[in-house]
Amino acid sequence: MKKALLYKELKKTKRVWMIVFLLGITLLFYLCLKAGRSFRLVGMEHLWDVVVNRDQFIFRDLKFFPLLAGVCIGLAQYVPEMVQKRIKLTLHLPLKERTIVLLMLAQGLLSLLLLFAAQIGGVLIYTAIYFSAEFIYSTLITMVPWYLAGFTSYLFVAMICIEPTWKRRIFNAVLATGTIQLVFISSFPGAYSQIIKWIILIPVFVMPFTFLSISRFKEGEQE
Amino acid sequence: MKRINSLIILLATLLLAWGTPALYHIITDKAADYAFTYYSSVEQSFCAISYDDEKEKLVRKNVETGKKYTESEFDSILPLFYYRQLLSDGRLPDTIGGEAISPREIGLKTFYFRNDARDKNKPHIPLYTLFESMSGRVNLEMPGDFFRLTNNNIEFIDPETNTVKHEKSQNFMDAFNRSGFQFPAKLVAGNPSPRKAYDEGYFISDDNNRVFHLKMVNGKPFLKDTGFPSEVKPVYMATYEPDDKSFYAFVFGQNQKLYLLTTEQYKTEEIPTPPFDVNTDQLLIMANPLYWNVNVTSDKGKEIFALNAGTKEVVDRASFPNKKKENRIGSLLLPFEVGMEKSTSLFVTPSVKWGTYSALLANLFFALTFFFICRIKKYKKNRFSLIWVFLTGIYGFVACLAFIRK
Amino acid sequence: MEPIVECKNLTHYYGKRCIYENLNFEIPKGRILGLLGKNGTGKTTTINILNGYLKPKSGECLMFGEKSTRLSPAAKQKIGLLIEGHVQYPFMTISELERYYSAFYPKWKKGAYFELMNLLKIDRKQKLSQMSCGQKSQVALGLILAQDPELLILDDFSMGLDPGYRMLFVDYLSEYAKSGNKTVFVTSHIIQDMERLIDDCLIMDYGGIILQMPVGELLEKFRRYRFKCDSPELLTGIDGLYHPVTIKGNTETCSMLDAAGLKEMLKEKKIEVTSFREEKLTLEEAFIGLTGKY
Repeated sequence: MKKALLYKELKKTKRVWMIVFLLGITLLFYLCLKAGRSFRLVGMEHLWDVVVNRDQFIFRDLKFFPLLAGVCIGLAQYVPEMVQKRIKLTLHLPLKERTIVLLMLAQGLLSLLLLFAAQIGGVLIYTAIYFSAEFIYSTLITMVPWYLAGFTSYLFVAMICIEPTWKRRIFNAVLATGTIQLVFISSFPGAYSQIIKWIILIPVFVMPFTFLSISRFKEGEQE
Repeated sequence: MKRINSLIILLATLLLAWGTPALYHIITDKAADYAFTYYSSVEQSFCAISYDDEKEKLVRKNVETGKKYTESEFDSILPLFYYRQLLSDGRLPDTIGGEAISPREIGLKTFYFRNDARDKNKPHIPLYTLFESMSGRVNLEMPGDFFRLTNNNIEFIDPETNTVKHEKSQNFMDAFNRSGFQFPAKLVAGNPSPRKAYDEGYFISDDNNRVFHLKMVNGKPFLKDTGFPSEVKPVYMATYEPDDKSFYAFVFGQNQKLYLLTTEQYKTEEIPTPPFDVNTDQLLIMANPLYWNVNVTSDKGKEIFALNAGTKEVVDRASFPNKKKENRIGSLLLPFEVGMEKSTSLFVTPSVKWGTYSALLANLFFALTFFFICRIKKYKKNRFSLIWVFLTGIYGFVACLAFIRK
Repeated sequence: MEPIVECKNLTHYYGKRCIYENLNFEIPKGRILGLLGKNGTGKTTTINILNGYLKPKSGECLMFGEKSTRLSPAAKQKIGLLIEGHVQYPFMTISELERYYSAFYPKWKKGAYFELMNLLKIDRKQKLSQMSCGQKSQVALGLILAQDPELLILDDFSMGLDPGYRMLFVDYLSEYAKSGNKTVFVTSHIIQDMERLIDDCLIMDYGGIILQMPVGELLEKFRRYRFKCDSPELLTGIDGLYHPVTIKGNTETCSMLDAAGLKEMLKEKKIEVTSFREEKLTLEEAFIGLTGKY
């Protein structure tokens, strides 16, 4: 039963996922090519110097990609559920409601995880080839908040789409904007290193919110 | 679902506690009004230049006597600061304060050292550039490698191949072993920019808080224990390359004292400063051949010492308290402020700044308003929401109203 | 007969507008019950409460003894739901839908589904989004029949369908219900279809339920009467007379009383009538008679 539900969720998001995945890989490829060009023009030592001593970040153009990916996957997954209130069909399936919602969220989060893992993996492999281990740590610490924004934005899109009233959707959207801003306060490389274990909790904190939207939908909230 | 709704209200309240004060400060903040102040070697007192908003012009005056000066007079009473202008005007005196002085000497012994808390509190990739100190070339050249200090050794890495230079690393490691350096290193201070007249390498504190000097001389390692006082634990070091090559670095001790590591066999001089916390305050030393102006700017205001350049004794001091008034509306309305950034750090670090007790009145007002709104609109009774609004004021009020369970 | 569904003291408001208060009804097992009512009388509200997608201001709905807002997976497995508009997933094909739903229902009857699908004469790999309204409805019907539930709830099953598809629905539902002692709860605006399908009717009007009884019994008892009356104003407010309307001296009204009983009652009230005629009604006519024309 759970496999079937996941299959349905996958069907909804497959196309969008492929597009976002290709976009992500293309963007990464482009950035690697750009860096390669810098290598050839100014030499690796200069590039290392620019990163270490002038606090530049080679992959800064990836910053908003995870956020966009989260929003796209979320919309692809939940907008079809809200058209004609098709989510009623999903919630009526003979599974516990909590299981249904968790599976839906898990599918979306897992698909994002695959996307992000591919991109981060690409970045780290590239970094490991051309830069020392210290760069890898700095790169990871700098990029992790961006990917957390991706997971958070997905969870908020789920919460907002399922919410039955427009007024509350707007409030939820404002809440989402404020929350996501927390991980974009500073783009200084490594700025979040002191609180990284706390900001990892942001998507964990936000995950239950979808259950409230489901509850409000089931109660037929109109205000 | 009640608990999830409470989590939403909690999050909304915290975000409002962050965003509302930020917006408020954007609208209301004004720059701290500190005049540029410099110790006059002619008047033997501090002189300042500030902008008069009313008269819309610069005002130059003696801080102690209040005497005002024209621009030309001001140049003359601060000859060591305006020496180029005086030289150009043919007004530079031969002697100042009874001492013969030449433009060359003024240039050589004048420097500006600024240290911001952000220089210390920032993320950094622990890789360092060690220039060749005796290349024989006028300009410094990039050395072609970077070094790292691990828990138990030093390694040089070739960026072109991303591999360790074993021979060079071993040579330097041998030098570390010979010098008795105790790994792991605690602090590493240096200036990795080639845009300077010369390079004196790095100052590194070891696990026993001993400060070592590391250089590369003709490709060979140079590592020496500076003999920095062992009772002082360095918390931060900043190298500097003065034109007269009289010192290597400033060392900030845990005892909130500042030390100068001189080039005279690493002789250490204590530099008297106003009370200074390297984690939060800004330090500016404007030095000339006769006096050092040591400025410390903090939340409390600006304090300046004028030190005799030779003996480093305090000859005068001035203080300018922070006149920035807490905005009344802010102190009444905002019970607390959540911050994610500090002006003293490049790290993102959350902090809470508590408001004044007068904000509790506003909190009470919001709590009562919330109570009546709930009553009129016949919302579900919720004692916890009411208490929350009382504790968090306007933030909780807006959050609860937006996300209340009707 | 034990009830499969029990609704107790249901009260609901939309804002300040009261839909109904203390509504009580049961759906008996093995019967096909039709919910009839004008627009705005609370049919959709009742269906939504039943399905667990609306929380009433007070009262509760029990399905198989469980609260409709918190049905267990076992209970949900026994309930087939057709949402208004024959809603299904447009991005799935006929085959994919069958494969998807069959995973959830152990009693899944593949044959029942494909029997209906074969009538469609379209490729099994065609997506639902590329089908007509009628074809989609057939797919939706096939899915719920294949599920083989004990209780079928169909919200406005005839919406947007032409007569052919409506007849198909009625025929299949009838056959399904009778074959296995299934319970069906259905709503529709097209009462002729309901008449052919339902055993019992539940008629709602503004504020609550007017009546719940077997259709046969209703049509047997409920008659339309036409007569001439000199003092039609005396007919207003008489218990037993439904919505009397007099136009140019000709009165038309409905009643559960038989002709003799009605004449007796009118005589007692000293109302003189002439040209007295009695007419049997269809379900639609009975519905209008009970709820009024306008």
